[in-house]
Amino acid sequence: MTRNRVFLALVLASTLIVLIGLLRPDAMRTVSREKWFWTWKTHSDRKFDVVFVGDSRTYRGISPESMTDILQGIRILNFGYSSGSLSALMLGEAERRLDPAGRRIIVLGVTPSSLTPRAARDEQYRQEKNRTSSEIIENLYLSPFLTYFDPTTPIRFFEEIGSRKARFREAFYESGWVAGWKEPAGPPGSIGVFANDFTGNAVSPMLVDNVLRQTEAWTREGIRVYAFRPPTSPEMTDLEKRLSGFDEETFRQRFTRAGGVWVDVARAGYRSYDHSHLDKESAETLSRLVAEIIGRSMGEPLVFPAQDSVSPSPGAARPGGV
Amino acid sequence: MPFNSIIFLVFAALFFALWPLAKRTDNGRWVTITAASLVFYGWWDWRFIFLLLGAGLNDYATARAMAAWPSWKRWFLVASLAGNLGSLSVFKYAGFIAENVGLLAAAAGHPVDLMSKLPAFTLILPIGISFFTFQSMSYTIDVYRGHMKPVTNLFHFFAFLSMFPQLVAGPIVRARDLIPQLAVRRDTTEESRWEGMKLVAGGYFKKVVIADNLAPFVNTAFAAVPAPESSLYWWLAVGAFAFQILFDFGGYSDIARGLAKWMGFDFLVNFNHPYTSTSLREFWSRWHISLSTWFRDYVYIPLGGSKKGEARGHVNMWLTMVVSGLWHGAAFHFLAWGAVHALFLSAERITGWPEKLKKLPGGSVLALAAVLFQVLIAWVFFRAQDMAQAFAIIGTMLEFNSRTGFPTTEAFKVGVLYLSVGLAMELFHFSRLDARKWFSPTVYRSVEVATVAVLITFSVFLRGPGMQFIYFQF
Repeated sequence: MTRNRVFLALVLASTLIVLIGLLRPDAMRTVSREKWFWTWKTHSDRKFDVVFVGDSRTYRGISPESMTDILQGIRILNFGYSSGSLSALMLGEAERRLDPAGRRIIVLGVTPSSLTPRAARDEQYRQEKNRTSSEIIENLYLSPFLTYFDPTTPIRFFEEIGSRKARFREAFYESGWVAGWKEPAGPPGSIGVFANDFTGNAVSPMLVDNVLRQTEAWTREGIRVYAFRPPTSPEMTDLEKRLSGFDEETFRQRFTRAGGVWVDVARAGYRSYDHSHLDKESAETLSRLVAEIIGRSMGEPLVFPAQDSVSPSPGAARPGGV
Repeated sequence: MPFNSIIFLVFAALFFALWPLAKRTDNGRWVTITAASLVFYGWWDWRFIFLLLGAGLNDYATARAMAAWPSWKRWFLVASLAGNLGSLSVFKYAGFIAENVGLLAAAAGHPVDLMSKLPAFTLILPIGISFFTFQSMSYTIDVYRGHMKPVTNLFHFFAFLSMFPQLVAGPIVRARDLIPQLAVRRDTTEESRWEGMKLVAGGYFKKVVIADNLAPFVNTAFAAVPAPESSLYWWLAVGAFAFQILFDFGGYSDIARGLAKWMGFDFLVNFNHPYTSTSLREFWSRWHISLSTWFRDYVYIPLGGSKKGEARGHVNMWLTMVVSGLWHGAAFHFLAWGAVHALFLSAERITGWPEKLKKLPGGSVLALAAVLFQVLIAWVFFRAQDMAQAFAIIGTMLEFNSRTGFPTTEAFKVGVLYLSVGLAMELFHFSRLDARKWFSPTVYRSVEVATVAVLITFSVFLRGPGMQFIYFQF
């Protein structure tokens, strides 16, 4: 015993790691996929016909998979980031992802938050962009094999194995979409956490002007620009109306004058799991609607598959969102 | 490459596979350590290697010159210190100096923009520069003082200076401790390998489980705009930071010590349960011991220490603490952190309150609480983004208001959970509980093996979001 303690500890640790890795719920394995997802979204040099840009409401609300069911053969990227903005930086990065020989369409997910100075720091994008080469290599090529070792917290662990509370699930897609939903589905809790988002952080007229200037410039260059306001809960819409300083109607008029096409997605029946973001089903519904409107405006042939065959289930998402 | 990265695990596996062969000869040992350490360091940015080599060559050559021309040794020392402190100033303090000179000049009505004139390389802080510069300086000063003879073999010297386990975040190992260890082949025993294993497993647990899980709560709290106005929230957030920095840095030091043990070397303890101190003086004998003793031996005592009268002793202590604050970062809030500790230490020296308090029933616990209170207040200056934020947070903490309503996000809940774990670990030590007394020696050995296995398992499955070690930036 005394002579083998290092070896024994390693054998025991390996056994525990294998056992826990095998027995824990699959839903706890998201960290590696998430790392892969953001690194891929930020550092991939693939080019697309359509690029969506915006914040988390965009990357959770638009499913390129559902859109390509209708706009077949069109390559679509969801280039949204957490607390992302429509700053010059992000608009430029979105443009870089367009295939010059493709259809060249940019779709702006316009939320009040995406036009605020705090969002314009684009912290998540910068964090991902500034990753070192070794982190990029690790996240892109090793992460898909490391899901077995994905960490969790004791709180999540006990929620997963014991609690009856609704659990949040998410799936990461190569297209840049993050599908989110609750199991079992339930109404969102308090909206209170969002109340401070606009304190000292109202919509910036400078950012709005820049979006409109860029829309004009793109339109002149032959890039088609669409914009929509990602749907959210009525409580959130009300909160944003009161606190953000965002006037949708004025923005819409100016955007149209600048050459953009406003995509009206206001419909009843969208469901948010947290007052801000759409759940998976609603995101798919919204995406089909956006695809249909854009397709019609472009004169693209549209395909309307049966509802239940529209997009893969989250379980069908390949590891790492691939 | 950070210890908490996959690439380091690969690097360490390769190094320790090669080490038993490499350590057989002096040159094999020194060259292998130096080469591996340069790869380890250059992984961040290969250009930094030249800085490390430059600092090393400066001190190696200076020490040799002092031995060759003893009558000139004072001037050699001055030149070497100027080189070391100059490089530290350029890379660490140039921006700070330029910005504040610019502000002073503007206040005097002569605005100058020095910041934009600084070369771009001065804006990059090479990882670990403060650590290896201090380690290198201690060698030259010790040779100057006659405490040790200069090393003749260049690789022997670089093996000491660049040894990867402690290169970027300490402990700051003294030349007179490590150079003799490197001079001879040192074989490991089962006991030393096991001690190393315990240190490495415990260090990873402290870093990746506790510190990294505390980080999201701390980062959210200090970045929140507007800041929550609840006193409870800020006591928890600052408490979380106190344990984050202890376990982040303490974890790194433990891993470094463990790796050194596997190589056959011994580094001194760097953190010895500082939050169980019952006086600030004791706190500083337990916190970042290698740096505290460095400042004591190379700044405080040369200034005269406390041997030139009480008032001079206070002045020397203040100078040492303020310089120590600036060592941590080129910003006024680091300087304030050092000054606040100096203030508390002065008050402690003058009043002798810890000894008086400890005579009361439950006095030790009260003294512990009083020290923690002061240390937490000082940590606010250390962690805050600027002085204004520090004062606002301290104001809220000292209101002792009963406001709640702060966001109890998952990061908050996880933070509070791991704060409790950290507190429990320190209280276990403070209560002088000793698990060895609970089991027979044979059973205790099995318990230790099981504990290490569980710590490794926790480090895999309960690790927090990957964070760089805090002390890399110093």
